[in-house]
Amino acid sequence: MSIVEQIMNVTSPTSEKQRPPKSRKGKKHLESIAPQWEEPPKGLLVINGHQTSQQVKNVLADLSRLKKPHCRQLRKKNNILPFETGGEASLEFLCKKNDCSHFILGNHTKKRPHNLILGRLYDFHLLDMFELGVVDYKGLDEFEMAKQLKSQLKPLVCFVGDFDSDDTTRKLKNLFLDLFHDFEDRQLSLEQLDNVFVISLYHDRTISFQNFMIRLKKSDTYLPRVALEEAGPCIRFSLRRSRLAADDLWKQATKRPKQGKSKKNVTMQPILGRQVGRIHVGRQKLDKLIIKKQRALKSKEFE
Amino acid sequence: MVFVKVVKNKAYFKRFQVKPRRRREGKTDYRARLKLVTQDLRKYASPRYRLVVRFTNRDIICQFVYARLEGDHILSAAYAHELPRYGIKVGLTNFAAAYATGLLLARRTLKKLNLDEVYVGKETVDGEFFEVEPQGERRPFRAYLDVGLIRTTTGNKVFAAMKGVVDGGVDIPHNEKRFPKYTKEEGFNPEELRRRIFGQHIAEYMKLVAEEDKSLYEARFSQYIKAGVGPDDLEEMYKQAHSRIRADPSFEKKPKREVKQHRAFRQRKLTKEEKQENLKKKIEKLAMASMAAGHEEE
Amino acid sequence: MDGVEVDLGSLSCADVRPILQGETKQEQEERILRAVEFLVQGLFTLPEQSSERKSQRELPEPFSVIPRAKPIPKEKPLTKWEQFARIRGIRKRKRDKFAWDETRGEFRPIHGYRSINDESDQVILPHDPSLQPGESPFDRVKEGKRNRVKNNRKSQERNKRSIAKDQLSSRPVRTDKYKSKDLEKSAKIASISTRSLGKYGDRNKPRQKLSSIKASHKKNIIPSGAERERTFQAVNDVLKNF
Repeated sequence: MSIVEQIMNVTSPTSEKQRPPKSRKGKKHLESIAPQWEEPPKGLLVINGHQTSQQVKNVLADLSRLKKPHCRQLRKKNNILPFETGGEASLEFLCKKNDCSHFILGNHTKKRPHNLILGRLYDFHLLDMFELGVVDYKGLDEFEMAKQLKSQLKPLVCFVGDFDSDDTTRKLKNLFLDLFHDFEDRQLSLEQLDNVFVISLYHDRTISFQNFMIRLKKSDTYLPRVALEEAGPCIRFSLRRSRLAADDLWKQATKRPKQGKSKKNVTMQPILGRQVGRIHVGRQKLDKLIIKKQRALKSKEFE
Repeated sequence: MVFVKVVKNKAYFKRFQVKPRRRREGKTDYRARLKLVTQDLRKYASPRYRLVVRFTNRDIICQFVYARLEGDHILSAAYAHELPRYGIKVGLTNFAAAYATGLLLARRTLKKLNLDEVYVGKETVDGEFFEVEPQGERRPFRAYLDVGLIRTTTGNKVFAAMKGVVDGGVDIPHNEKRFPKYTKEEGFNPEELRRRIFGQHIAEYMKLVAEEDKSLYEARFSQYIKAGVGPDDLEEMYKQAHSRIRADPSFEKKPKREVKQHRAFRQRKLTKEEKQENLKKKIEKLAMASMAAGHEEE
Repeated sequence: MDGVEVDLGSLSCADVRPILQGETKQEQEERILRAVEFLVQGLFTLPEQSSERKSQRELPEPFSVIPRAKPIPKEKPLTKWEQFARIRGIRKRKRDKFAWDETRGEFRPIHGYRSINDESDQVILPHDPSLQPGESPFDRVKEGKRNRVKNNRKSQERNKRSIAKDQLSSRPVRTDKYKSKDLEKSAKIASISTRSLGKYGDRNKPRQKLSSIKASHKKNIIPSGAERERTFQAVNDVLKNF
C-alpha cells in the first residue's frame, strides 16, 4: 500500500467514522453527500480571494452562470493561497462544506495580476490545480448571442491545439472536460446540441476560452451542416503555476467501479441456501447415444 | 447598568450576507423557483415552462415563462383586461374571469405553436376533472403551475386559471384537491366548480343582496348595473365569452395613444427686452401709486 | 479526418495540430468549425433508441478518463440476520407502523411504547402453568421483555464488532497501536513456531497451551562477536572454492 493510500485511508473524510445522525433530516443530508456508485454532477465552488479585481470578478460571475445550477458562489473574501504550503487546508474545508469537488479561486496581486486558480479535489483532498492569469476578457453580456443561451447548458467541448504534448496541458484539458461534461449522463437528445465551449492552446502557451452557439443547417445528406456564432464569454489566459496529482492519487481517483453483471441462470435455493445454476446442455444427439446394446433394439434382427 | 453582550457586533455585520434582492423585497420564493426552473438534463431536453398566474387589484396576469441564462423569457401572455373584447365587461378579477383568462392563454399559445387543432381541450365546460392525453405525433404542451407567493387554499382563484388552461388543451400536472368545496370526506365536487366557472356564486349573491337591500345592491354592483348585467345574464355571458375566445384567441394590440404636447412646467427665461419692459411697467405703477398718495394728502 | 479526434462519449472533439504563430483568426475558426461539425455529425450517426423519441441517442463509453469526486462506496457488511435472510430468501417488506386498536378505539403503534399489544399495559394475564408458587406473573412478563432487550443489544454489539473487524483487516496495519499484551502473545507464538509451520515437527507431541509457554527472547539473540565469527566462516567456506 502506498503512502498516499495510507494517508487517504486514515483521514478519508467520506469514509471517516461519523456520529450517527440524530434527526431524520440529518440522516438525509448525510445520505445525500455520501459516496455513490454513479456520481451526481460535480459542483463548482467559486471563491473570491483576499483581493479581487473587477475583471476577475466578472470572469468568475460568467463562469458560474455557465455552470448553473451545479455551482456555488461564495460572496465573502477568503484569504486562501493554495500554492503555499498548507494553503489548501481551508480550501478543502470549504469545498467539503459546500459539497463541491471543483473550485475556482480568483485573486489579484501585484506579482500575479488577475489571477484564477482552477482545480479539483478527490475525496476532498486536493488533486490538481492550475493557475491562470486573465490576459484578455470580453464578457458574456457583451455578446448579443448570449441572450439565446439556455438556463442550463449541456455543452460540447472542443479543444484546439497540441494539448497532449505536455503533462500540464494534458491534465488541464482533462480538467476542462471534467468541468463541463457530466460523465454519468449517457443520454443525449439531439435537440440539446446548443452550444460548444472551445478551448485553444496557442504557441506561446496562452489559452483561450470561447463559447459558440451551434446552428444546424440542412444539407444534401441526412447529416446537418454546422454554423457557429460566438456567444461569449471570450477569455484569454496565460498559464502560470500548476500542481499535478501524484500518480498514486490519480490512479486511485480514476478507479472505475466494477460493474456487477447480474449472473444469468444462477439462483439461490431458498431453504438450503445453496447456489443453483441452470445450464443449457444442448440438444442430445440420439443417434450417437451410447446405450447398452440390446438385441431387441437392433433392427437387423427383425429382418 | 446591566451588562449586555453585543451579539450583532462588527464581526457579525462584516460577515453578514444579505439575501437576494427579490427575497428582500418579498417577491420571490427562491426555493420554489429553483425547483420549478431546474430541469434534469439527464432526462429531458426541453426547457421547463411555467404557468405563472398573478393577481393585481384590477387585473389577472397569466403567462407561460421559461428561463434562459440571461433571465426569464415569456412565451405568451394573457390578461383579464382583454376580456371585455370577448364580452366579459365586469368582474375582471373574479373566479370566472380567472378561468376565462387561463382559457385565453391556452388557446393563444397553442395557436402560436400550431397545436390548437390537435389539442382542443374541453369544449363543453362541466367542471369534471380533465387531463390532456397525447394525440398524434406531437405531444401536448406541458407547463407547471407557478403560484408565486399566493396561499394555495382550497378554492383559490389560481386554480381557476389553471383549470382554464387545462380545459384549453395544455397539459398541467395537477389533481382536484384544491378545487372549490373539496373536502376529505366528500371529495371533489365538479358541479360546484362548474357553477363558479360560470359565475353562479356571484349571481346568487347578487340576488340575495337585491332582495334584502336595494340601495346596497346599487352600491355594490354599480358597475354591473352600468354594463346592464343582471344575475341571470352571467351564465350566458361567460358561455359566449368561452366560445368567442376559442374562435379568436389572438392578441389585439391596442392602438397607441396619441401623445399630446406636454405642458411645460418650468418657467421660460425672460429675454432682456422683456425684463426691461417689465421693469418699466413696475416703475410706472409705483409712480402712479405715489402720485395718488400725494393727491390724497393735499 | 486528419488531426481531429472525436470522443462521442464525452461530447468532445479535439484538433490536435498545434496552433502556429502566424495563424489568423479566420483559419482558427475554420478549424473549430471542422472539428465541431465532425463531432455533431458523429452524434447524428449514433443509432436511434426508439421510434417514439427519434432525437434520443445513447452515448458510447467515453475514452477520456475522469477522476471521481468521492471514492467508490464500500458495501456495508451484512449483519448476521441479513446473512441468514439472504440464504433463506427472506425479503424485507414494509409493514404498517400503526394499526387500529379496537378496544381503545384509536390508532396505535404496533411496536414499542404505547403499542397495541403492550405487555406491561395488561391488567389481566392468562394463567401460566409454569409459574412457581408465589411468583408474580407480571414480573415474569417484565423479565421476559428485559431478556429480549438484552439479547437484542448483544446481537447488535456482535454485528458492530464483526463490522469493525472487517474494516480493521482492510486498513493498513499500524504497529504503534498494538498493545503490549498482543505483542507478548505473538512473541510466545513465535518462540515455539517452526519454519515449516509444524509440518515436519513431532506430530504426536500434544499442543501447548499459550498460557504455559514462556517467551524466551534470548534464544534468538546471538552475541555480536559470535555472529561475526559465523559470518566469516560462511564467507571463507564460499571463497575456498574459488
